[in-house]
Amino acid sequence: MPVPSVGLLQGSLDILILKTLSWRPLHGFGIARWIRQVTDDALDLEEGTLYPALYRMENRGWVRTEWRLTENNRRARYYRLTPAGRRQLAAETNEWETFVRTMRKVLRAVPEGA
Amino acid sequence: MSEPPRPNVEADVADEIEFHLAELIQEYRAAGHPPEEARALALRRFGETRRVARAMRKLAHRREQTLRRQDWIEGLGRDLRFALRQLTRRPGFTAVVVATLALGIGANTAIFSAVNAVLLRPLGATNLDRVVFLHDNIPALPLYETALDPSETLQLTQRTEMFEAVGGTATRNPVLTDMGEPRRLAAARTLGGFFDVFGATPYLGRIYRPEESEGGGHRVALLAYDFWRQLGADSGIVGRTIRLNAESFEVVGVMGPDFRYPRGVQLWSPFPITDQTRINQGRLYLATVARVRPGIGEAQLRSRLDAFTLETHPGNQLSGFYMTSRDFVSEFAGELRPALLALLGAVGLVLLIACANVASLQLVRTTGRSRELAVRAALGAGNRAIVRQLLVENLLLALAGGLLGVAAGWGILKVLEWRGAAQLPALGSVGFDPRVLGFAALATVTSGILFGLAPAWRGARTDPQQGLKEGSRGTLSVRKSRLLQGSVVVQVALTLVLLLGSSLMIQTLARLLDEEPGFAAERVHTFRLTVPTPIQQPELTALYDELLGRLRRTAGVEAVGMISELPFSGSNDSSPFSIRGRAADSTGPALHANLHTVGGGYFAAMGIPLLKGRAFADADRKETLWVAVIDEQLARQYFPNEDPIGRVINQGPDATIVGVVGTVSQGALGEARKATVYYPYSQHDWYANMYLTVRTSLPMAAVFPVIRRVVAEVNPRVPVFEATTMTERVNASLAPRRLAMTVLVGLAAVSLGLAVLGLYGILSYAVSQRAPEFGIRVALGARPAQVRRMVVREGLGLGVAGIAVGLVVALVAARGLTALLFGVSPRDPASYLGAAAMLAVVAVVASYLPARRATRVNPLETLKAE
Repeated sequence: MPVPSVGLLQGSLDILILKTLSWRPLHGFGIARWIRQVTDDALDLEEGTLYPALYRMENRGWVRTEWRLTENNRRARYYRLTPAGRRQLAAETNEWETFVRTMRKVLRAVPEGA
Repeated sequence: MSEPPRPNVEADVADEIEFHLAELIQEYRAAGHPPEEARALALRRFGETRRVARAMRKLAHRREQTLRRQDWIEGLGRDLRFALRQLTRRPGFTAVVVATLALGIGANTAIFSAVNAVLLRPLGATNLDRVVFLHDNIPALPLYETALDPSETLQLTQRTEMFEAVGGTATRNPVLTDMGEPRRLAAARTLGGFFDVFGATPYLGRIYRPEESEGGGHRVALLAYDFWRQLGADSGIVGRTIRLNAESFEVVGVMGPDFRYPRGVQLWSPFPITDQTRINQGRLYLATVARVRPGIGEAQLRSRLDAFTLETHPGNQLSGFYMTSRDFVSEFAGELRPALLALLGAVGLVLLIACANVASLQLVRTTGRSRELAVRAALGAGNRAIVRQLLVENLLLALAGGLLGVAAGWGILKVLEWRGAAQLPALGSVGFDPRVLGFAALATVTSGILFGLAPAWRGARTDPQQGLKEGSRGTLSVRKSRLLQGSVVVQVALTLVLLLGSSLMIQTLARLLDEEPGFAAERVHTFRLTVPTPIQQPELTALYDELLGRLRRTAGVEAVGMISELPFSGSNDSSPFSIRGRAADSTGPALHANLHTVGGGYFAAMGIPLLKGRAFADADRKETLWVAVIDEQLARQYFPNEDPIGRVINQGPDATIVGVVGTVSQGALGEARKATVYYPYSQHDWYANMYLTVRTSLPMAAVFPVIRRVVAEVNPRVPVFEATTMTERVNASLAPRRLAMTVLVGLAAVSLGLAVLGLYGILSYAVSQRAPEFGIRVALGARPAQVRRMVVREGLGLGVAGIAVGLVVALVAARGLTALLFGVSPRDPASYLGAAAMLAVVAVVASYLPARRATRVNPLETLKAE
């Protein structure tokens, strides 16, 4: 699978993170690992780029953070979705689905009279 | 409220990246990569750590800032709510503080608004600092700072290397004849670039050009805004004609509402230039103003004016003639300037006193609150939080005081206007504008910080342990607190300055009222009348003759006369003269004297004594010998060792001196008196503007209608106006000083009250604090008188310290009054002694009441309370 363009990736990073956090609080590494697994590593993400995105989301009030111990007893910063973050996810999901539906319709269309 | 401990951004970012890399490395190791390789793979997977860390830090800092700002605003809201609770819980205290501040701020706002209108933007223009009056000076006459001869002004308009614009004005009183009843106007004729000097622009139409003065002057006129409103505010008036003295003038424009110079003028028109105008005739009546070129300093202007006079008056070394310039704004304001500046200083002192007073109240209260503050400090509130809390409270108090103060200022202004505007027309345009409100806001914030800092500073030093240990009653030893003592000393000291100023002004007024003006003002009623010109001269004399004859026969009139320039009316005329038979001293200056044209029983009506010879008689006619009456001043100055009667002087036509009368003050009480010559209107028959002087016991309300009726019977086209008693005129000349005195006395009284309250309040507090000590003393056998003496001594000590400081401050401050004083020195020892003694007495009285309370304590009670 070819790597999608950077622009597309940037725009979709937020929704990926929000989706990942929608089930449970996770630390940055956990988010990266989950995205990797779900996408079969197709995105080939530079995992460091997650952090500025996460911080920006914190500033916007979509996520809250706290320092906790991992199952391996290491100190990690966990990100948790706030109600505002959940609303944002719903909105972005909706937008994406509309976009995908429209694109699919366009791509599957056949010329009239064919 | 303490803030939650802030996470360390740097460490968090590093830890978070570190954790991620560690987890990645572990994953690669688990997949079988050797350690070095696993690390390299992890780093590649993560991306550039430094760039990521930088981005994270930036975002984290931004978040910190937002949070801090939110905290601050929330904190302020909390502080405000808390402050409101605190203040409403003690309404008495709050009311006293707010009222004290309102008084201080209100007085400042009122006086500043007057300063603003009179000194800062007198013509609605703010850039008047390069505008000057130009004056002639002839020391040998002696004549100083007079107006200019029109020819001089004309020459100056050519001096563009010195001035951007030069203009002159001469006022006159034409009669408006074609709009209802004839009425006399205050009009000015202007020469040169008069309007350019002020950068004035018309409200409607255009401003006439300087060239319109040429060839005898165009018949065009500009209307003053107020006058235009009186005429009906018709914007179609431009281009119409009005008739003045039976001549038609085209209205070319209307000036803006703020342009009021010369004062009270209703109409401007071009000053006619003829060939005669270009010759210097020594008629010094054109008030000349000029806008100095930028970059020309005072010294430069003086040397250029000297060069100019040398060029135009080659003989100036002989007469000592020279020209001077004076700042337009200060001269325009006249005596109001020193009066207003002195008052501005005085209200500043009152505000300081109010601040000191409130500060001491606050100090005592903050101390009473030391337990509350200690609890808050113990709960983790930082010093900054406590100071902020106290400052918020103080600023809230100041704000309330400021708002009430502006309202009070408005009220004070209305009272001043109502009491003083009639006598001080310059105060008519005083009002609140953004600048005044800005000043009030500044005064409010400054005072809030001034009186708030001391208590806040003390509050911040509260030691929680100490505060909690001392029990519910926080204490502040008056004997130990320099701040408390300082505030009392400041109040007493500044009050002394105000008392002294009042005393000096009261004495000045008393001395001025003792000054003899040279006439008996009581029962003299004065009126102005203007005969519409042109009129043939014999007709004018006949008209005056008949008018005076009828008035003399009117019941109740003891004496009646008329004069061209009445003393204390603001008008005067003077010119050079010579004495026949006395060789003109070509090296010396020309002789100079006031000249007035009089008629009827002028001297008798005014109560001016005839010292020698005779007054004018009906037999003095144009065909008979031309006569003059001189005053004592002229006789003494120019005929020191000879009898002036029978001598001939020339101040136009020749005239023989037939009498000598007493000297009068022309413009103001206490001024240096100038030689004066009087001529009869029957010979000098070209004055169409006259002042009637009527001596009668009847009240003005009864006299005015009679005068009007008689004048109308003689000629219905002659308007009579400006009905004023001579006493009113003399009083009006004292108006600026009277205003200064009245306001100063009021301020001094208020300050004295505040100082008494301050001293009394603090001593009462000290006594209540030391009640146990007094109890022990009395229990140990001290006599009440001893205890009383102790308290009084303490109060008197503070009073004496305040008086000492005040005397020093007063010595400096009194210099600001010098321009207003008359007959009393700014260092008058009696005034200083009186003010000091008054304050000493006040200090004793304010101390005695608390002292008496101190000895009323029941020793048993207070000891039990311990």
